[in-house]
Amino acid sequence: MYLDALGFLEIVSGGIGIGLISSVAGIGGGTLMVPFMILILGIDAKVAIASSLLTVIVTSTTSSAVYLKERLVNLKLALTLEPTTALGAIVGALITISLPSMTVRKIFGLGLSIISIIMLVRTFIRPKEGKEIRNWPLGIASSFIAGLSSGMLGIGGGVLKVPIMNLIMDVPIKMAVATSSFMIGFTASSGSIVYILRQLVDPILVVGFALGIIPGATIGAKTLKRIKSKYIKVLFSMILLYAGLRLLL
Amino acid sequence: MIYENHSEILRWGIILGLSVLVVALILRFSGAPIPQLEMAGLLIIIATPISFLLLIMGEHLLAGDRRITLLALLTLIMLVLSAIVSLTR
Repeated sequence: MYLDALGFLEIVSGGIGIGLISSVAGIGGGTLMVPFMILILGIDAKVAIASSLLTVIVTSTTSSAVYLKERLVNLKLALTLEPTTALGAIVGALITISLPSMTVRKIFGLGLSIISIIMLVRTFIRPKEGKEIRNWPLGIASSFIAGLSSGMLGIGGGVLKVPIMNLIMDVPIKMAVATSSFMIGFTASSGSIVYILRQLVDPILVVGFALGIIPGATIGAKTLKRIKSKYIKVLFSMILLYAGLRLLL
Repeated sequence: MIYENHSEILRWGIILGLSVLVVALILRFSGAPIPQLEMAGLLIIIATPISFLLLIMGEHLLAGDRRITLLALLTLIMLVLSAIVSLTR
């Protein structure tokens, strides 16, 4: 096991910070959790990715319960995209497991750099509000990439799923966010099974981050509404790009 | 649909999983670790969305909606495949 009781408070505090930032930036916690674990807590890249993926199940499942209640989830869309996404997550997790930790760290750095650029570009693109879902085959094929990134990098993959649904398939943005959050629980479960059975998940990290992120995100959503999210997103993308390059180089 | 009206099941499943993990961690820090309990907590967390998928599948099967049932089954097959691949490789 990788951490003791004293390190637990550090993880919970980190989780609160991640929850606050992610609620303002409008992203899941995975993209922040893994670099935090590797660069600040000094945890092995594979353990960080595996534990992050489990925590992502906790946070996304909790929020998708709200989306389901508000009837924002498109079940047909979610279940059509999910099989290829889940397949991608399994392949991604198996790739990560088969590689040395240092290579995984560099791949995560590259993935994070690409994601930060996607986030930066998305900040300046106006979301579509389409009425009819189209481009199903392309959406299904692209979902494999979203799943692959989830399994390989320990993230929910919403950062890719939402643009795939909104920009390629013309799904309204609110529905895309809710459906993506609902799908993340299944995608992350597919990848997590691989990691749990290899005993790469540290329960302290999962509990610590979950206990921090859930209240952090709730506080963030309630108190930080006035902050101009566009500037935060640009700043956040730059921080992610820096973290990605630090892991890569 | 039941799953829309009872989406709280998801939240309670996650709370249960986390509670089991918290108990397991308290035991670990007090010098009496039970690794199986930690594994059980992690598995409950994973089982929560999977159980919900089964609920969706069952409900649509009863309603005669073959399309959603088939899609849910495909996702379930992927999850089973994930476990099989992990155990055999």
